[in-house]
Amino acid sequence: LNIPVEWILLVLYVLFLVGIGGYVATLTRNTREDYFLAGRGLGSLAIFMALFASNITAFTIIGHAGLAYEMGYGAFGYVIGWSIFITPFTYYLVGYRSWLLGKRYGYATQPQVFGGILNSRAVSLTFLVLLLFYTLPYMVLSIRGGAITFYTVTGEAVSFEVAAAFIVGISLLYTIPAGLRGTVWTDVFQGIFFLVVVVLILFAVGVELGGFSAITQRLLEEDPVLMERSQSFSTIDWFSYSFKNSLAVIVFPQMFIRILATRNSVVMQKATVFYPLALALVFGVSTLLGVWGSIAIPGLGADEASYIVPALISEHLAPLWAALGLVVILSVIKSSVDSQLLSVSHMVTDDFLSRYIKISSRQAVLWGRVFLVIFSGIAYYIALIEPAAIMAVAEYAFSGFSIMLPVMITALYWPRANKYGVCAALIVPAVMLQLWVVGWLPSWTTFGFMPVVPAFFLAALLVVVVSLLTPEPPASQREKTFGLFRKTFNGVRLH
Amino acid sequence: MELPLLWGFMPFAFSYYVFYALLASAVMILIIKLAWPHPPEGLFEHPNSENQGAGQENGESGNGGNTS
Repeated sequence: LNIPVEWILLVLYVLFLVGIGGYVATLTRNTREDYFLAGRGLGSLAIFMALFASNITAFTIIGHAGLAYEMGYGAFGYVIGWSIFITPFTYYLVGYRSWLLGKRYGYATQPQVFGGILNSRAVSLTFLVLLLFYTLPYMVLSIRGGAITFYTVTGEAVSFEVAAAFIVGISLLYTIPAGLRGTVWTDVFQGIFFLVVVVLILFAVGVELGGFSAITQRLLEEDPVLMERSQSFSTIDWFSYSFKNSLAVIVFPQMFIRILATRNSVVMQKATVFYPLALALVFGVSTLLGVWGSIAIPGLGADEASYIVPALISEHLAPLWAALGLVVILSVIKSSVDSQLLSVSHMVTDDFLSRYIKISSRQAVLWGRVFLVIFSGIAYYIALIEPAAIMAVAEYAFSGFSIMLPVMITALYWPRANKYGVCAALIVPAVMLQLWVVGWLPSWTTFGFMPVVPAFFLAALLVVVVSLLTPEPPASQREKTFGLFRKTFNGVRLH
Repeated sequence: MELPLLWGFMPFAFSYYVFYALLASAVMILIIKLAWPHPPEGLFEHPNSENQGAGQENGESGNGGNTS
């Protein structure tokens, strides 16, 4: 019997996930708080790895390494530059205040937090619609990216359809029984596995190519431009790209919900301190592999360059490494798909269904599981038929998330903000973004930036102007939110 | 002026992000020290019954409180 090592590892990986799912399911009670929020008890390692692993997608070692192959070391600054600081800072700026409100009033999603602050069902519903509008296509894109990677890396041994079904199926294996706790536990183990294997692959490839210094020497001789900050993008492009990437993360519902599920403030603080280092490490390794790949396997086109890491592994390392690389890629894809699926099911159960049908906590868990299956089926079907309109939305989903941030910040910091300003600032920029993307608005109206930049500032302007032009919120409503912040931030218990 | 390679292989265009990441962590520590207080004791002990969200454990329907 001669079974390839990658299939043995794949089976072990699936058994491992089933084992974790089964075990964590025994710890999970059938209450909405426990199933959707892990009882608001996520500890330091869990929250760090959950935020980190959900933020690492197939793009990290496929798309980004391909970019580094073409652009050189400048790809790192282009993609991840600002995010190293801005993203963890938004965990503080938006995450902590939202967590305080969630802990105090039981809010579990963005529609609840911001609908609660503004005491407005319209705000809640607008948040829900926009988050679903951007998350669902983005989830489809994740499944498609994962499936393409899977069947490419396995040498097309499995079809695209089977690969997509595998990715969706393994996500459901532990998410259905164990909810958020299941996704978080698998993220912890997979995150550690990812970090260890990727660093090992870097060293193994480095040694195989003659050592780090020798590779750099070859770069200097053969393609020194790759050693510089890339000249292949303008300052405005760089600004737009970093702007969008760094601001979107806290708005992802799967990220936001995980922050609400944090056990205490110390846990959240630790995650923000270590996040920049982990992000730099992972994207740093991906950048190095991409740049080194341009020396080891030169002359690849853009599409082939995307798969430079698997190509490096299969060409320079033993089959075991290729198998480990495949499992790493699968794990990063799966960790974003499972959390997106759960957050969508959670929001539809809590923020839509519960409004129209009186359901108990136990029934909410059951509905959450039903929606998990329904949305998995829908996402899988869309991933197969690839309708142009939905895939187009996925392409600018990051921008869509980013332009919701001004509203979130304003609602958490400005007592004068009201539901009219918030609704206007959510809807108008989203429509404008759509018009810019489809080309119905002339491109000069973005002043050379990507549409996300003017749309973001338009949202900030609208929430202020419309709020000031309309009645201020009642004092009791403001006190409910800002009284809580006053008690927390008025100089008590600082380190 | 040619800047030296960090650890013998990282060009400055890339290696300065190592220091940037360390700086980002240091700034987060500073923010925690100066502007990130822990919630005071008892802040969460008596939830406002007029506006409970979806997090209740006692079985009732909840969807983010009394939004209108």
